[in-house]
Amino acid sequence: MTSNLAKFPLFRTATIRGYAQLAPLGGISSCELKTTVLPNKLVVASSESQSPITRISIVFRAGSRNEASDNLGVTHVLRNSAGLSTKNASQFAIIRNIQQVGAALYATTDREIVSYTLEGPRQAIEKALPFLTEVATQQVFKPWEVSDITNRLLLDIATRPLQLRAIDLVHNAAFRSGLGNSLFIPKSQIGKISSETLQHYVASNFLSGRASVIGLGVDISDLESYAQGLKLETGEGNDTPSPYKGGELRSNKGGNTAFVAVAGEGAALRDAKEALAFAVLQRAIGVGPHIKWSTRDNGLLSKSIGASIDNYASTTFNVSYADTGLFGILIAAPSKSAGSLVETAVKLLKCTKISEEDVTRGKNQLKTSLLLDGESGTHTLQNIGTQTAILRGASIQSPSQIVALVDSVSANDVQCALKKAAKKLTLASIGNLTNVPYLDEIK
Amino acid sequence: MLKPANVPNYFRAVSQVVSNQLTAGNQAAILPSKSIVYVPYTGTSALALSRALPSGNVSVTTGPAVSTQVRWAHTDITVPDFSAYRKDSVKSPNVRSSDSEDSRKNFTYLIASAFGVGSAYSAKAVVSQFVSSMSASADVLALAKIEIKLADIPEGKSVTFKWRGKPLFVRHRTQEEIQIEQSVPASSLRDPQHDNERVQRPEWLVVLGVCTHLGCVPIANAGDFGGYYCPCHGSHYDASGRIRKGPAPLNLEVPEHIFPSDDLLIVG
Ligand code: FES
Repeated sequence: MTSNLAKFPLFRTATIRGYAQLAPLGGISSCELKTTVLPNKLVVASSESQSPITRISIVFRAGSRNEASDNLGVTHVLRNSAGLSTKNASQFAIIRNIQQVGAALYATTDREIVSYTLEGPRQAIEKALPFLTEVATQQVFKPWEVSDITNRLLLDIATRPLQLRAIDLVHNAAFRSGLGNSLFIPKSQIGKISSETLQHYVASNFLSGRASVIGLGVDISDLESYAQGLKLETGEGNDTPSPYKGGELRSNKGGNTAFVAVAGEGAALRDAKEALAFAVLQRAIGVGPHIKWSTRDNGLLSKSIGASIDNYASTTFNVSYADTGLFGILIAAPSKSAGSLVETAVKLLKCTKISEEDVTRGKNQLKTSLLLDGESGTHTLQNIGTQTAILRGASIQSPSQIVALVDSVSANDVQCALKKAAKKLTLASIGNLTNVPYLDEIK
Repeated sequence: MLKPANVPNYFRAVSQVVSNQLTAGNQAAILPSKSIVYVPYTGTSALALSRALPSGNVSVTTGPAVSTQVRWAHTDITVPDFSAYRKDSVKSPNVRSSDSEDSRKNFTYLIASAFGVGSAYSAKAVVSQFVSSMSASADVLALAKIEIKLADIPEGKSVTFKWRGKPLFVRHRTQEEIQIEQSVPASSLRDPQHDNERVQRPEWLVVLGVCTHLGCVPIANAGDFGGYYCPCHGSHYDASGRIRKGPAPLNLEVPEHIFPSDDLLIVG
């Protein structure tokens, strides 16, 4: 079964070096990120972080925004089909061979990308790498295996927490289709995504011009020779723009708690300066407690709510997609107090002067969280993966490089960002909506 | 179907309390039983919620043998109760089992050693029964020995007895025969045995009357050597029962025998 899987004589040198100098488990987070673009437009990015754990990711720009109405939910099925039998390896062979060497393989999808990641000790990666190739590029989607996934789809849908559904709803309200598509398959589509649908989706989106290969703890030249061996169709596919439209969606589910997301248009990933301004703004408004056991942060939202209500949780979310973004506030509160909290949040978005002090605090928090996140290989890999998939090799930055750019954000940039977000608001709510106002009721 | 004539019906709803069987009911449908999902409770406190709210790009990760598995929870299977088999001393949750450990162990050891002794004893009985079954039975044992009065046998005669189902030759040898047999050099024989090795008292030769060739009964005082002669294939034995000529390979067998007194021979 595995006989025609090529073995790659990768990482020999890297292994020796990795053991010669003891690097921290997460690797050296500030090490240089190298990027090359292969002739078939496949982007390869790698950073030899000296970590004993190597992570390799094959990323495709094939997230749920590429779903159309007829194949809605295909990325969810695709995500759960990772590890099914491929051209040269059976489901059993994939799981056994990867677990035998102590590596892990998983598929991650968001609205922009679908990525397949292999992580494990260096020697293990060398043995398991052919299976990453198989899972990411040689899918066959045997109909009987695809139909076996149905229960996992049902389980995934049934166990979505409400805050996740609030985020889904706010996307749906803000973008309608495209970026408005959920990460989860709609119930009505279960059983309708066939093997052919999956194959067609893969054939039209898993193209070399939409793909990138990312490595952490692996040498760029090794990764390049691996990437050259990948059998990917050339081409760039088509991107449908998904502009911000705005609107309102409510889903009254009862219970005690209301989850409300108020959002406006955010920054596109392609506009790095604006994206940073939004990131600083996010921290300035507050992303929830930084202190253990605390429920409050020191941000603008907590300040304007004041101490009168204390049983609530809030965060500011900021997501950048290729051509647009979503920025807003997510509130979870008992239904009684939800109304006034939502009103405060809308007011904050519409008319707040951001002070220099808030910007400084925002910058510091942003730098800290970038650096802390940068220490986790998984996080860095995902970050770089999104960048490479969307920016295609142009100005891709490692977390430490982004930190250096944060200081260039001015208070004016941040104020402009808030203005952009408040231009047209979106409101999405789920849970007990007794006291949650409609968007047009909020002055 | 939303026919124009029906449209008004979609703006109000009517529920029939008592049917007169004339108005047709609404469309029939089968209501599926809804599957119930118990999602682990993660808390609705402000703290729990603030930890769970996402603030960035939301992505979902799964993989072969990584995150989701579908397992069927069988809530109808009762957990087996072994308390009927448990010792009373360890049933109470408030008492340390180590407190009663010594007494429980002693009891176990006592029972084990009692069984051990008992089974060793019965094993011995069984074994000796089987072993004794392999030895000769009483009637055989009764015939196993034969007492012969030597005075009945005159010199120069070979008398045949029946011993353990076989013929037994007892020969009262003459002085002359003794001398001849004594002087035969052992090296010249097919089955080299000196006369002294075969007799306890030179006058008395005790041999089994079974030819060592194929088991015929030899004839006494016959053959070239004056001892025994087997007529079947012509084996000649001398007066010491040794094979001298013919096809037999060995000397006639000398059974165990003793002379308790001058006048008595016991064979067996
Ligand atoms: S049996 Fe005596 S010679 Fe053959």
